[in-house]
Amino acid sequence: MLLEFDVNGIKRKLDVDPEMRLIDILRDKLGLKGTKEGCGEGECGACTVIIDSVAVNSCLVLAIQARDKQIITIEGLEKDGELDLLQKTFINQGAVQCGYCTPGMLMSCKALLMQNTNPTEKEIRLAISGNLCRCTGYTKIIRAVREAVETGGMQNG
Amino acid sequence: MDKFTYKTPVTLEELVESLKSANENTYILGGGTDFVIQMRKKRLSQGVIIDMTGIRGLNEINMDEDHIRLGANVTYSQLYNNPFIRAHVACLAQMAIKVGSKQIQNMARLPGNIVNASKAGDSIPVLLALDASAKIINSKGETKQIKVQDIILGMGKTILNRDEAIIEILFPKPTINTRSSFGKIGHGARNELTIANVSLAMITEYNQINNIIEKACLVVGAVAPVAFHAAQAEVFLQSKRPSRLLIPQLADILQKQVETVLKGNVSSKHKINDIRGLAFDVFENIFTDVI
Ligand SMILES: Cc1cc2nc3c(=O)[nH]c(=O)nc-3n(C[C@H](O)[C@H](O)[C@H](O)COP(=O)(O)OP(=O)(O)OC[C@H]3O[C@@H](n4cnc5c(N)ncnc54)[C@H](O)[C@@H]3O)c2cc1C
Ligand code: FES
Ligand code: FES
Repeated sequence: MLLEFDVNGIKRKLDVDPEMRLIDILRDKLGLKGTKEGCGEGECGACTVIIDSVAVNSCLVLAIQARDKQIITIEGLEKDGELDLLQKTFINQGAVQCGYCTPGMLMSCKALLMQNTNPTEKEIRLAISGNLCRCTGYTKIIRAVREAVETGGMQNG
Repeated sequence: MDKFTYKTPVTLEELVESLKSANENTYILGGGTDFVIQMRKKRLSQGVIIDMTGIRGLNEINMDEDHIRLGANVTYSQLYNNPFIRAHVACLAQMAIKVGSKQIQNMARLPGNIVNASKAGDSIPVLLALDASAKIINSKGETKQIKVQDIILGMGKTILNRDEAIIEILFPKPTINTRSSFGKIGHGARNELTIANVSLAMITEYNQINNIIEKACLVVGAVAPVAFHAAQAEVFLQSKRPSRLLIPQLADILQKQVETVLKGNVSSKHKINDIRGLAFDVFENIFTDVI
């Protein structure tokens, strides 16, 4: 059936099977391989994307459920060849090691900052509670979000 | 043909129309956090999926004279983010923020938790304590209101027919004296994503002027196949003044009740300590300003 939606600012029309999940079409039909599949069961968060401003596991959403919605994937963070501030602070803080969790982690953090420009450490922890990272121990990730908040604040003010 | 048909009703009339041909291969889809996993595990590949998520007007939290009404598409995140729910139906907000992760809370909804009827379903003790009902619509367009208590028959079992869908959850409006809390202790590798081993929802009518608990309602989840009222604890708290001294006694009563339900099941021994801990957490949470 026909799926019409917006992915990273581009309107898309695709023919999809009802049992296809959002992650399947992002990766296989749209070639957006930045979104990773880890567990396929909502536990690891590697597949996190943003749907209408909130973080969602794309492995638990049927593609058709995304009809008429706005999706942002990791590929949509970069603007005009420049990395998003969060991507830069992740690199600065060494919050990327093997990198498998990183796209999902970034999307969870981005969703947080879209709703809350000055989150507390507790709020950051809560926002990434559905994202598993085996490498960093989370501290560097939290630091990266803090840095983005602080520099973002300076840029705006 | 080995395929799913996917229906996307936008109005209740269209939902009723979609329900008309419902049979054992019809699946109602809410947030999908249980369904998509089951679909893949059971390798379901044919039948009809009726997607509730596009139905207009079902994503609202409303209030009338006597009831709070939650549309079937209200997510856990919406519950937690709603200032009224947070302030006046604390047990519901506290439950919502403890379900899964942010990503799950952004998609998952109450009807899915009820119909999934897992022993560990976090919303169930809360909805029982709130004396909540579900508004159900069928393929003839008829609606009825049934207590959540009477909907769940056992693990994975409900009274819902294939041609019925939950469109609303409603419960009596809290009074100015209503105070509540929810706690769960679970297993899981992390603090987050814990599946409840034991959960406890407690709602009280507390008259601050007389300093008296006029009524208490306690529901224990995840111990028996279906959550149950801790009747003795409810009687015990009635007409008492809240104090820290009450808590160990409350814990004893809850422990006894859980032990009776477990009937010496050794593998569940830890639930006994857990329920004691929850008695402290939940009671202190409710009465922190007066004890
Ligand atoms: C990683 C992870 C963590 C989780 N953590 C928790 C947790 O901490 N606590 C907890 O309680 N649960 C948890 N769950 C389970 C799940 O998220 C909840 O049960 C959730 O409330 C299901 O809601 P849904 O909208 O996603 O339901 P769906 O998956 O859409 O549906 C579930 C079932 O309900 C039926 N259904 C859905 N909506 C309706 C309706 N309106 N009318 C009739 N039938 C309907 C469906 O047909 C299906 O059988 C977790 C799941 C995952 C994947
Ligand atoms: S792949 Fe979706 S949560 Fe793990
Ligand atoms: S960087 Fe390796 S899992 Fe997070």
